[in-house]
Amino acid sequence: MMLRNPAQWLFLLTGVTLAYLVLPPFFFILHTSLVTDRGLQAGSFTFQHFENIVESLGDVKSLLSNSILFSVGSAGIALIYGTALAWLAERSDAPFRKLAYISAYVSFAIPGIIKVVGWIMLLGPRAGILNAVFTPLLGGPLLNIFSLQGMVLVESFLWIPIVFLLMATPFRSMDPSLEEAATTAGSSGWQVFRRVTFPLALPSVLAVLILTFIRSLEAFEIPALIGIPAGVEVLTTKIYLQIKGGLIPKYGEASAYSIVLIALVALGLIPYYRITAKTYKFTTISGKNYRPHRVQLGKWRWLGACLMLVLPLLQFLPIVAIAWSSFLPFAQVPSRKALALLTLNNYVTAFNDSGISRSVLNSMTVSISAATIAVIITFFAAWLIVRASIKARWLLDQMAMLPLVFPGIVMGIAILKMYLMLPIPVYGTIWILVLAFVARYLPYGIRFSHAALLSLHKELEEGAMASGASWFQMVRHVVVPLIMPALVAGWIYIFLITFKELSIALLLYSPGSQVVAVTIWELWDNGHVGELAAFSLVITFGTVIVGSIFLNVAQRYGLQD
Amino acid sequence: MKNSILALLAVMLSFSQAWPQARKAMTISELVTYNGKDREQVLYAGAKSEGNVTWYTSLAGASYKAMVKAFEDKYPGVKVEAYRVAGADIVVRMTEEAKAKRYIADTVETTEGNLLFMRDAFLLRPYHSPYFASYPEDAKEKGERGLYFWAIARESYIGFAYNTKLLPKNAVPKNYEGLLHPALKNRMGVSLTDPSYKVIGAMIKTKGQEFVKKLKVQGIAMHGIIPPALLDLIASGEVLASPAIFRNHTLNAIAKGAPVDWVAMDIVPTNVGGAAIAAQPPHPHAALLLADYLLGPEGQALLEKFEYGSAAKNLGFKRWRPDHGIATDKYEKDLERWEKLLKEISRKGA
Repeated sequence: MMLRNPAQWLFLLTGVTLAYLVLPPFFFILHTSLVTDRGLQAGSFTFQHFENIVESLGDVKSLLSNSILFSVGSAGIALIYGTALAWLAERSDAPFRKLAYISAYVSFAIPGIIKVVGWIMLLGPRAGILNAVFTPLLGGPLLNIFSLQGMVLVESFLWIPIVFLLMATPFRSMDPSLEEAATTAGSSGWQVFRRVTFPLALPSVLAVLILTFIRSLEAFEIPALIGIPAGVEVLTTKIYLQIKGGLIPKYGEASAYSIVLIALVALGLIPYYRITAKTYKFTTISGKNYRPHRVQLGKWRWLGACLMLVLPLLQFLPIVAIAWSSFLPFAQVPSRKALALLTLNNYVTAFNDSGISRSVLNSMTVSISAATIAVIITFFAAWLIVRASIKARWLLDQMAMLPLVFPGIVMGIAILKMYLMLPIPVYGTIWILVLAFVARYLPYGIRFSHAALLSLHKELEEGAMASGASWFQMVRHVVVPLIMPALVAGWIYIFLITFKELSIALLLYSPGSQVVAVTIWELWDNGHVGELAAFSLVITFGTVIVGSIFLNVAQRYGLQD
Repeated sequence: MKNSILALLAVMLSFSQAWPQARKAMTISELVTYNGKDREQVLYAGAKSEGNVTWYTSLAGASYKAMVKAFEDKYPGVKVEAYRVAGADIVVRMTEEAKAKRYIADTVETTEGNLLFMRDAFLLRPYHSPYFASYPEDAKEKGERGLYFWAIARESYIGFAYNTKLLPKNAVPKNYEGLLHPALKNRMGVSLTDPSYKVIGAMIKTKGQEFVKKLKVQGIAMHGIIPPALLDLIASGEVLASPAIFRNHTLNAIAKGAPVDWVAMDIVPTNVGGAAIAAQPPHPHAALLLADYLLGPEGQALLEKFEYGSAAKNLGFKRWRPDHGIATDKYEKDLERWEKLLKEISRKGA
């Protein structure tokens, strides 16, 4: 093939990089799902793992109905509330906008397991702090978290911040003339939103739907911590228990399940491509000079303020609950007696480790490197998908999305095997973690960049090229500054989430390359909830400060307020 | 003259101190059987020249860190590089490293079930330790030539834990039969993890499967968290009691003032961890020195501080190791059977 222009070179380079990061783990997972892993027959071909997955499901009808209620319910709440918040933050004069952004980013820095434990401390039917407060007033608990409703609510609380950030990007960069035209033509506010604003934000809405749908098929914290005691079984509960049962995790079954998910993701992406194929439909950033105006809420401003405050409150409440337990020697509801027991011991014990500063330094290096590399790769991949006229460009998206459903425990082994075999000297260093995290978080990077690039009108790039800019100058001076908010949002998301990523870090870290996530796991595994709470709070605080520094730097270099 | 004699003595003394290093280097096969009186000096001198030891362990956080510090204090010049994860992860990692012929681990300390896997996969090397003699025969795993693959370095016991403020004294069970007390109805919880399955196994062993099925009326709730986190729920009052909580976690909570207590049932399922050395340790002297330290009086005293039990001590209850003396695949099947039974008898819905 003759490579005639930079796009073709870039396609080749990006394709090879993505293939290197994603395909070896994929083939390992495929292989693991199709061979026996135990006994004398180890290594021989089998469909047994797939059969075991099907058998483990048992009563499929109730499982499916629970799973659908759980995923549709939580995705629905997150989508509606997250979108409303994003619109309020970007297109209205509602107060507390900065607070909403800060709390969204803070939420990524807290390990999911900690947040769920925080909610159990608040809404446990017998000793939940909120239930203890409301029971005398209401004559019963406010909400029994151990129920399907509890699962749906807490899952949606975990998703609202990411929906909010993903939806904020299109609202922020939307050309107001389209909405103004609709208003001039006599449309009401709701009609403008339904017929103009929302359709323009469709790529982001679909990205959110894909991510929430897949996560509901993969995430385990809530089905395990809330669903199991509630007696509500969803697909993930059954599959997780099937994989975890026995002495050594059943990697074959875990891989078989991820292959089924890969097929589902591939199917899910087809309608997404169909809808977003005509990219001009979604362009909201054109060459015209504009700044989206903010809708004056008038007498409804107080309602906007309340809605904006709910997001920080939802993030703040479980943090308060875990902060409370971090100052106590053992778990208990607030009381005068409990106040007398407050202590800093958990903080002293959690940080009484000479290796902790090395862990923090390692984590910073790993997370900054992984976020930067993942955002750069996915930016180029997304640009090629949206702009290039290369037929096989869809392959880039498929490859970048694959790791979304790689089970962490199996991906850890795949990467371990890969770098034990390859003559690349990263095994035993922190760089193996960087490579693993880049691969793991490509799907998030690509969705942030792809949705943002769809909103960018082609004429801006053509204009730059026609004015004599080289391809790289055009990308550097036109494309990157215009979609910087999405790139920064993606970077911060990956930075914060890799800081606490457990399943891969545990298998890949080595003596000397210990990261913060390993300490989090140790504290959880030892059952020191108070110490875990203390450690997580300090680390959350630290990562948020670092995240804010980067956000400020990014704002100085082009990111809008 | 006097000075020359002193100088000669000094030279002789320095030779005698350097003797262990100067002697002919032993092969790994010789070293694991070495039983000389100067064993500790030989191992320490060799370990010092090796510089460090890589320890793969699943010992709990604070205890393994304390162990590293105590060992490094006793043997300056030998740095411990610890890799601490769950036993299953140690198995995976050592298997893959061995397949790629990248030998990194020296000493291994993890639970018996995982050690059995590693032994069967030829990842461990049997060795001699002067401390083996103080351990009962069933606390050691025999290898060839009178050597052992491991000895039990620590034990943890699984029993009934409860909230002392909420459960009346007369309702505290003394044996599995006591779990049927009406005060415990719909108030007990179990963690969906191995320790709970082992308790079901212990009930079947002592009372039979029909007794386990009778427990269904008690409405035991399952929890998707690990036992120490469930103990936190017991301390807070969210859950009243659980028949599958570790004694050491409860003792630690009691020391902090939590209103909880622990009682042994008819038999006490016991999780054990053994000290072993890798088949190809890159630092063989240091590997053996650390294994000796773990099994020796200092290592054992340190583990006792963290409320771990010792195979050599009688604690007044009957211990039962469900994974001991049976093939790994049989043990895995037992665990799966017990897990299934637990799910059958547990409560559906909060």
